[in-house]
Amino acid sequence: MTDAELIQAVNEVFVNSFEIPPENIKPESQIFVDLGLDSLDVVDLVAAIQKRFSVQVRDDERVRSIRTMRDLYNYLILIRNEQNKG
Amino acid sequence: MKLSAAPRSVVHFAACCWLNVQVYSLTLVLAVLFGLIGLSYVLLHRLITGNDRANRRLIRRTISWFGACVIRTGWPWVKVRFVDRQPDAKPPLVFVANHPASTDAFLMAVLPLEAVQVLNIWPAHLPVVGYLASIAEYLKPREWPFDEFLACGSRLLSQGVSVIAFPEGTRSGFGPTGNFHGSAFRLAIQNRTPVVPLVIDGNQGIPPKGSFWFRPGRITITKLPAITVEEYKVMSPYQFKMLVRGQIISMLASSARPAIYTS
Repeated sequence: MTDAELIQAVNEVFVNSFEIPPENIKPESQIFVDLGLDSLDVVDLVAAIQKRFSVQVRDDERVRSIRTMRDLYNYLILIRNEQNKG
Repeated sequence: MKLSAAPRSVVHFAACCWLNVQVYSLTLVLAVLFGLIGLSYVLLHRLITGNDRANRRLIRRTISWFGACVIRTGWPWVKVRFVDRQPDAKPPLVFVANHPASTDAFLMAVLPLEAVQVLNIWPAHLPVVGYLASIAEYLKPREWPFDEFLACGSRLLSQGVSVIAFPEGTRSGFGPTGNFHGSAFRLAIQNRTPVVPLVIDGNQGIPPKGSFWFRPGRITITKLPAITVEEYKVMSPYQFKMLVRGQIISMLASSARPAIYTS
């Protein structure tokens, strides 16, 4: 999966799980402030991302520092690269 | 005779001073009266009947009566109007309101039913308010694990007690309506309870955020028609809270009028 495909897939998770209009999802969008997710929605988001990408991220401390969509893209790209190395 | 701007502002300031003296002195008298008479009655009722459910109901009703009196202490400078778009909505219900000012909690006394409120952290720790909230079983999702909040909320709903939440979590003041937290919506979904949007308008300056200085104005609380389980069952909690937030924002926009005494 290329970076562009991964970003597209992440955006689809937001569209499918939360029905957020695609035009509202931008790299600089803040997940809590601009997209309106709360701590409980994030639990749903993590579950949807784990399912979509077949990864385990729930206990990863790095998840806590994610604020924007760009942070999320970069984090998942990092996870993908780590998996490819492993 | 028309007053020029300077005398008008003097009259306005004098009215504000009178309003604040009136509100705070009457509230103090009411607090003492309710504290002595209301709580004594509640205690006596508890001792005589030993009925915990009836006693909790009495405590919540006493708090509601106190609120109903407090929101009238500003009359005639502060007027409160309640508009009920669906008077026949059957409790228990989950009410979701916007949160412009600290007086919102008192304004909930306009609702003619037994209810508990969802509290933020700091009000739950105020000396008297915190104790009363505790014995009335107000919900504290910011302090409790989410499962505990769900369990307590579900138990209250099963007893016919409605729940009132301010999902912004903090006062919006004169700013835009903030994002909603989904805990109250998840409680409603879990218990298949209708959700009623409440729109509070006009009290942004009564008092303004960060101030204790009351200003004159007209407050309108509009109870919108309940969103039934049938209507929301296909939605995720996120979609549901965004729908209700959208309804409240639309209502605020449609009733927008020049703010009174906003400076």
